[in-house]
Amino acid sequence: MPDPLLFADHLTKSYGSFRALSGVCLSVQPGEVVGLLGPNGSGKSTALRILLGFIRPSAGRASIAGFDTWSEGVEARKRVAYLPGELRLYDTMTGRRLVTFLAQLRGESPGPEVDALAKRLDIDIDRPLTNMSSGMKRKVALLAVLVPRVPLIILDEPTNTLDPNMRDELLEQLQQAKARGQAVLFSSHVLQEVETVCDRVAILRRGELVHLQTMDELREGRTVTARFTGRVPPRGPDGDLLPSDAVANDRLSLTYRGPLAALLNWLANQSLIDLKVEPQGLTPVYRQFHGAV
Amino acid sequence: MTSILVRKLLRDVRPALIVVCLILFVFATFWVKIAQRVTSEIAPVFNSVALVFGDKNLFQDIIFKGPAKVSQAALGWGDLNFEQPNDFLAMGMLHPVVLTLCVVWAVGRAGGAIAGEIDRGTMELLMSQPLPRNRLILAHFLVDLMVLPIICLAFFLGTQFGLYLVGDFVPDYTALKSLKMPGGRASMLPIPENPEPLAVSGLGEYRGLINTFALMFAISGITIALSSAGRSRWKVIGYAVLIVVIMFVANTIGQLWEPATFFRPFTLFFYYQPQKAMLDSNWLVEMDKAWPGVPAISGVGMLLAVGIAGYLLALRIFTRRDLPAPL
Repeated sequence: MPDPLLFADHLTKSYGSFRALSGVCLSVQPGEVVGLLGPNGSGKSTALRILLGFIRPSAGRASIAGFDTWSEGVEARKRVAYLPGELRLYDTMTGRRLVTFLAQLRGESPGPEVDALAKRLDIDIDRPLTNMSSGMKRKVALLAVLVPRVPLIILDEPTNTLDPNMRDELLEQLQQAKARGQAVLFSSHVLQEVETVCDRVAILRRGELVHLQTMDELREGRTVTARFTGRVPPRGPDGDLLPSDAVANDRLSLTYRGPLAALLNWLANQSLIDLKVEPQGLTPVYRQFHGAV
Repeated sequence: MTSILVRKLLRDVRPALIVVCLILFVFATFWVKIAQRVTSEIAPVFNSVALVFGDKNLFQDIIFKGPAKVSQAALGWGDLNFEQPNDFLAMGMLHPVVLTLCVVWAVGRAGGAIAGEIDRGTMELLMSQPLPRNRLILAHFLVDLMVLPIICLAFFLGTQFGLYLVGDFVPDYTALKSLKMPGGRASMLPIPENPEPLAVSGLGEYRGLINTFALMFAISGITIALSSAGRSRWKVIGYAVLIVVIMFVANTIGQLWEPATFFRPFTLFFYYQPQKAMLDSNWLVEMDKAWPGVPAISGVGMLLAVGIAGYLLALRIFTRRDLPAPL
């Protein structure tokens, strides 16, 4: 496996006695899309702010392309484009001037791709930002993030205030970024969009990383809901005893991870009244740590 | 990279800069007219009357006592002569309008430099770029070095424009000549027949304005140090204004009350003496007025040192602190 592009090693951030982040370990490979999930206050933004060198970790360290995000922050940020969650822009500028200004700070001058991308995102970047709605401003900021071809894109709740079409367009842009070899780390509350684009998902709870899973593993999982004519058989598709919490009288509700053929074969031998087999998705995983979604 | 930031900061301050420069230009122009009226129309009348009684300073002494003495001390007019146009022009640099504008500009701009950027939420946008934090401080330092002289230049040009408009300062005795003694006799007051124009030149004002530049730079340095540690622009501005007002009051009390003189050198206003630089090319501040035995030092040098110290402190704080999330 190549060296990770982003590496967080036991990242901890304390404010007095309060721990905003506690021993978080995470890595992101080049070309990988990782979703950071968790409710407000779970530490997502704190983690991202450490990765961008805005705040210094109380313990642990983080690096991007081998550069420490605090002590070598400039080198690290050369490789990152960031979209803040709480978006505030220079309202005295036009969209184009903002994009140009930010590109110039990177030592670049934006080319014709700005106009092409602006067209795709359906924004008039020559309008003053002060005259734009919050959704339009977010699109301009997205444009500024997508223009530089950096190895890592970090987005803090990027689809906030975007309409459904633009949300789809953003997710499409992230897929394209991945195809170009760019890695993406983004935080979100919306499980569906994480499921759509991510290769891996990390779930935070009260500052701790409580779950890390590849989406491929998650997609292998299926939720089986069935109703039987008589009692539910004691053993499941894999031959093991069914967990007691999966069975209620003639009903079965089971998460199955295994070969599909074995499941179908087992179901074929049961006398069923009703059956539903669904991909597992993120919802039950998220619910496991954070209750109802 | 720094030049891009500097250009952006200059664009940001442009509207306010134009307004401040215009106000100072207009004020300086009017101040010349006021100087002409006082020194060539009002002062000659009072002086002629005072000479009859053998006390040239009679009216000046009457005018400047009580509360007026306090204002005179507060504004540093103590050693100035109201009959001399150049002295009166020098008072313009000590006028409350000018001092207030200088403080408002320096505190307002530097207060917004770091804390304002955090407050508005644009710091994250800026600092997510590969921009070293020290470059932001450097950019603000450079903007001060460019903008503060422009403000001083506006005042200087206002004075020159005023002098051009007003013309010679010829003492005017028309009012006195028209006075009649009881019984219709001509006035006995000593009135010159062909008074010479009073000597006036605003060119030396640039020396005083170097002092004004240094004062603004010092205030800006103190404020940016506070700003680099803060997250709310208005809080920083509040603290900075409080510090400046305390310094101003302490310096004034120190001039009026002997036991408080000791504190004057701790205030910026002790080192702000543009009138001496303008009129006598004297850049030195007599420290022994407050601290006996201490040799005189350069007022401008001290103010610039305070400004630089403020910027260095800002650099140290800002490059080490956590950037808080926007409020």
